[in-house]
Amino acid sequence: MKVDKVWVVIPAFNEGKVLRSVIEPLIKENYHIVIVDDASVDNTYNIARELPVHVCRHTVNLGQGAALQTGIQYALMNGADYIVTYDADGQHIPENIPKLLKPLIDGNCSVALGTRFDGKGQAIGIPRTKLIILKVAAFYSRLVTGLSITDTHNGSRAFTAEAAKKLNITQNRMAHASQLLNQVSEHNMTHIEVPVVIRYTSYSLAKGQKISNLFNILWESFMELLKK
Amino acid sequence: MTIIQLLLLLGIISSLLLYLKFFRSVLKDRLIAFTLFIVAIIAILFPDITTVIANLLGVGRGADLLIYILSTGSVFAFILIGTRLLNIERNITELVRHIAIINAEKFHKAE
Repeated sequence: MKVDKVWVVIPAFNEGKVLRSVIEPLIKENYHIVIVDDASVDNTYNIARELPVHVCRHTVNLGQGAALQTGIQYALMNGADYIVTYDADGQHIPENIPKLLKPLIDGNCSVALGTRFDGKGQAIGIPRTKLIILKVAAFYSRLVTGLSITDTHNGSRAFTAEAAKKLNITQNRMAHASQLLNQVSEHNMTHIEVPVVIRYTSYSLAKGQKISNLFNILWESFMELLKK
Repeated sequence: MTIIQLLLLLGIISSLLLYLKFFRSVLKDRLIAFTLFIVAIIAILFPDITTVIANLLGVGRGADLLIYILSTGSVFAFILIGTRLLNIERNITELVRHIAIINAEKFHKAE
C-alpha cells in the first residue's frame, strides 16, 4: 500500500512513559507522523523530539479534541492525502491503520470509523462498566446524528484530505467525539465502519476517561447548544 | 437611617467605585450600570417604594420582588458569563494552535 501521503495524527498528554514504544512501530511503517503535545508536564515533548516525527506543542493544555484539530490542520498544510488519528497511550495497534485506510484508498468512502463492537472488532481487556457506558453513548449518538454506527467513541479513525478539511473540532475536551460524528453527518461525508482492535492496559485505563467525566461531556455539549 | 441601610449604601458605593476603577466598559454599559446603581440606592433609602411596585405587579412584598429579580438576573448573568468564557476559550485555542503550528518541529524524511 502506498503510504507516502498518509499522516498519522497523535495527540499526547503526559505519555512520556509509553510514547516511544507506541510510535516506533509506526515509524517502521513509514507513515508521516505528527505528535501534538498538549502541554504535557512530563518528558513527552523531549521524547517526541528525539523521534523522526513532526512535533507540535500546545503552550497551554487544551484537551484531546483541540490537539486532534491542531494535528489535522498541520497534516493538511503539509500535503496529507489521508489522515489517521491514533492514541498515544498504547490502546491502538498499528495493524488497524491499513484496515482503516483501505476503503479510503479504494475510493469507496471518505471517512473510516473504527469499531470495537462489530464484526472482527475487539476491545481487549475492557472493563464491564466502560463497555456499558460506551454502548449507551453509541445508542445516544445514533439517535442524535442519525448515523447507523456501532461504536461512536472510538479514537481510531481515518479521513481523506477532502473530508478532513471540512472538520472543525471546537469541543476542546472530550465531547469532540460526538461533535466529529455530527460533522460527518452534516456534511454528508461517505463513511464506513471498520472493525479494529483496541487493547486496554492498566496504564491506559488509569489515564483514560473516568466515568465521572460523563457529566463534563454532557455539560460541554449543553454549552455548545447554547452557542447555537 | 438604620444600620442596615448604612451598610448597604457603603456596599453599593464601594461596588460603584470598583466598577469605575476596573471595568473599561463602553458608554452604553456604563449607563446601564449607573441606572442599576441609582435604582439600588433608591431601593435602600426608600424601601417602601419597592413594595408599591411589587403590589402593582401582583407581588405581596417588595423584598419578594427583589428576590425574583435577583434570581432571574443571576441566571441571565450566568449565561452571559458562560458564553463569554466559551468565546475566550476559543480565542485562546486559536492562538495556541497557531503558535503550535508555526513553531512545529519539522521532520524531513530522507527520500
